[in-house]
Amino acid sequence: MCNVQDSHVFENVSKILKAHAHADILITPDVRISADLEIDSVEIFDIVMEIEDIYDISFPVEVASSIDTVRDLVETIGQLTNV
Amino acid sequence: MKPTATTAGIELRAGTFETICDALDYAAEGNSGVNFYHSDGRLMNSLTYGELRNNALGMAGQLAAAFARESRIGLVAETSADFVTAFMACQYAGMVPAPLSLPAAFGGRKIYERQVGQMVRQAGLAALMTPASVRDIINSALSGTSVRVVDMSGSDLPSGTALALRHGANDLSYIQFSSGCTSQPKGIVATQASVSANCRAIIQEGLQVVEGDRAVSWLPLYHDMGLVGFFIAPLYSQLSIDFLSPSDFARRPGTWLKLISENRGTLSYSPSFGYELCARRYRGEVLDLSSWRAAGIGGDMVRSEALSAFTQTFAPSGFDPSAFVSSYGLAEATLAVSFAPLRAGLRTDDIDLARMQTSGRALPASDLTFEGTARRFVSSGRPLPSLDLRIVNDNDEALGDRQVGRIIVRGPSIAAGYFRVNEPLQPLTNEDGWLETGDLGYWNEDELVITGRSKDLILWNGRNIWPQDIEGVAQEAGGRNIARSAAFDVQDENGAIKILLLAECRSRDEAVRAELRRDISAATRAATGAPVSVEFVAIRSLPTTSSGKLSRAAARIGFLAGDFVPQRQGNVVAGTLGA
Repeated sequence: MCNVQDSHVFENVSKILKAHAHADILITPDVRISADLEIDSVEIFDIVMEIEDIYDISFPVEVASSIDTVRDLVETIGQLTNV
Repeated sequence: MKPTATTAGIELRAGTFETICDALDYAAEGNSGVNFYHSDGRLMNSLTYGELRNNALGMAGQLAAAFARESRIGLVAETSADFVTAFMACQYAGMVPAPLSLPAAFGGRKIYERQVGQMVRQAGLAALMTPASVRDIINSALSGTSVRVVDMSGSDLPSGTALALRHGANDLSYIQFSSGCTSQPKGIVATQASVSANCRAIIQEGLQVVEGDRAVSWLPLYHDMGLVGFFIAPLYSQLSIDFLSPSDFARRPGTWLKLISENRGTLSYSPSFGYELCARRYRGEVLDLSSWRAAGIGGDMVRSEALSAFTQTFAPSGFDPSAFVSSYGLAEATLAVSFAPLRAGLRTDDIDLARMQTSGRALPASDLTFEGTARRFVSSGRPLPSLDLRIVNDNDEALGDRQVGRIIVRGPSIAAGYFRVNEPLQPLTNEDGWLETGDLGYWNEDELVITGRSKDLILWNGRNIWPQDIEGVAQEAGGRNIARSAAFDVQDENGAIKILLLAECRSRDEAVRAELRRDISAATRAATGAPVSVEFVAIRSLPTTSSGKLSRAAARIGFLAGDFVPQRQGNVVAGTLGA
């Protein structure tokens, strides 16, 4: 998917991530959520919960652990909302 | 579906069993059992102990046909009926289960696969049972090994059965991967005797279980506090348990309280951060927490501020702060070592930290205490009567009131040793039976107060983080620009832990250093899931021991004393201890 950055989901996700990020860097699809944005494992759950609430989805463990970058997250939300 | 009854309908036997199988055999005669809830509080699955026993006996026959007795079987410890069934099936089949953690969300997969690989090799597992949800990850972690992967439900075990020979009173029970750095995880071997002794002490001496008690837990079942405290100990006292998975708790902590409220739970534990999370996320749901008689705190340093916030938020919902039970324990002692007196709430002690650092005595803070160096500790209560506990100095001499020293314990709850396949068990105690807990503390009259770790281990939000792991990752990320490095924790005046990495940096180029700092910071965070502040220091400036090994303790003291002139402007993390 090449249009990740233009999507609505990306916009929403960026907003949520920005609120939790400790590192002051521009959020792009290739930014790694935990590593680059300096978000720790407790805060990750805040984010998971917010996203699950907004999109009415639930991340299966296996899927959640494989999400690394913002792109992964946006694409996963896309897949889970299209089911 | 209805949750299992609080009243078992049989006479309460307070932990007087020799094996876990005996405990389940007896509990199976009553109506109590285990219940598993969804994050929204819906009951997903419920088993009486009788049903759990039948299912476990069925699977035990299959395990006995498939694997040699005393085989070690890894169990990916999701919070489910399948997990507790498989765990009990191993007990009935004389196998030694080794509960393993689940992968973390967002970038956790790679590290997890590496960890699983290491644990499997170290424990010499014959098989690994996993829920379908992470089977692909487990398969990928074990590719190239001969370890059999089996579904947690046992559905793909061969259907043939053999006579299952259950564990006896002198047998092993399970392997608990606990402390130990990622590169060398340590598998602690619990025996039927150590588990039975500790559960009996928890039930009779610590929590003083009575009829009408009900346990509620979100604690991970791969951790001693979850596995022993909130599965095995309630089983040893025939209590019903309401389970919520740790990840569901982290998403919706309110569900934990909702279960206590609706099921009239009386016993439930969490590290401080769990209470903090509940207060932070509370949205005004109607709750009645008046049944909660023992709100335990364990698993990391007890932080009174976090608990005050909880009380403030939930007192209107019937929460009574005298229910707080601060406790201390470690997996090497099976689980529990000390409990605060019941119905007494938290007992705090304000200490002059600067004087403690220089004199080794924990003296109460006074008007003379410098600002920012007073620290509030929470008492961890009295040692279990069935255990010996001493606080000793470097010459192993017992210390008196308010003198800080190493905590050592002795007694029947101490586990058998560290396990490594094809090697003899590595004992946990010295010749006289004393276990070094690795923790420091002092006596405040007859109560134990924990002040920190004597080992270099970093305890962060209930998790053990080994400095070697941080340093190793920093080395990898920094390449030849980084010489040596030392990771350690510092506490702010609220007791919150900050992880710091001092790294000797070869480059003087600001651009290179900025990039290095970013890379190392990202890599260490990815590896540990915790924030690590990176500070560069001059080459050859980190202290070493007499044998030439890096001394983290000395680096930490030096940092707090201001010895390391930071090599950049601004934003230096300042220590507060004695600085």
